[in-house]
Amino acid sequence: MSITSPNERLIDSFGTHWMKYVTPTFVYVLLMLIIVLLFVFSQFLTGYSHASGAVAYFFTFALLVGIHHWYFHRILSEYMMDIVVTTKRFMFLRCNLFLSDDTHEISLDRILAVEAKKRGIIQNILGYGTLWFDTGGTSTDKGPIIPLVPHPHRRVREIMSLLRTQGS
Amino acid sequence: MNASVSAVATTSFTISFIILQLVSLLFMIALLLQFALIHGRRIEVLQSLQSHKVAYRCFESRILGIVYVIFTLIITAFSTFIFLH
Repeated sequence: MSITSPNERLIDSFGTHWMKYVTPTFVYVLLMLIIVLLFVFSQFLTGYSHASGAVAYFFTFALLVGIHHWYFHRILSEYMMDIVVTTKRFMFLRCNLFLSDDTHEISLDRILAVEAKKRGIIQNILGYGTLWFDTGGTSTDKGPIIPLVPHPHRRVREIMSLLRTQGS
Repeated sequence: MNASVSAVATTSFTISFIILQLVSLLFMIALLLQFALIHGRRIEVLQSLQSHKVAYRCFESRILGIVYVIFTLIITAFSTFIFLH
């Protein structure tokens, strides 16, 4: 996939912030609690009618299996979000298993400016934010935006020092 | 009449249950294969850049895969246990 030029050197490679796992895990735990309630309800229903109890059990199983695989699909997909910085380029690799596999590659020659944003209490406390690259002719709405970057201001400093080194 | 309806219902419920479990296991295998494929490509990129994080990434992804398999097997065993009782 990636053929590196002879004088290309890796500066840093890292995954996005662990915050990406929080929302799916929270939803998973919540849905599992609902599943437990559905199992209790199915048990209760079986006391009245065996057939309706069996149907309720089956749909609860189906829901349990669906939620379980949805969760791990999300977790494994989120795990695949990678950021790679080399002396020549910046790469953002993102994939959603079975659905998409994207590589955003920005040559350092094209970068005019880099902006780091940390918004809100959670982002400031946990130390993650968004990186935006000004490659000329793009706006913050359409330009290359990298979300969930750990310590974005430090990354900006690293990239800017790289750009200065290349410029001199 | 009632007994035969009940037998048909039980058989169709059993078949549906087995199909659900098979689909679940097949989905798990397909997801793990896709994960391994994409992960292999990522490792290639990192190796070509001589990253020192390759071994750590491999370890992490193996742990994730094993956790997924164990959880899926627990859910399969749990639902089979409830189904049989």
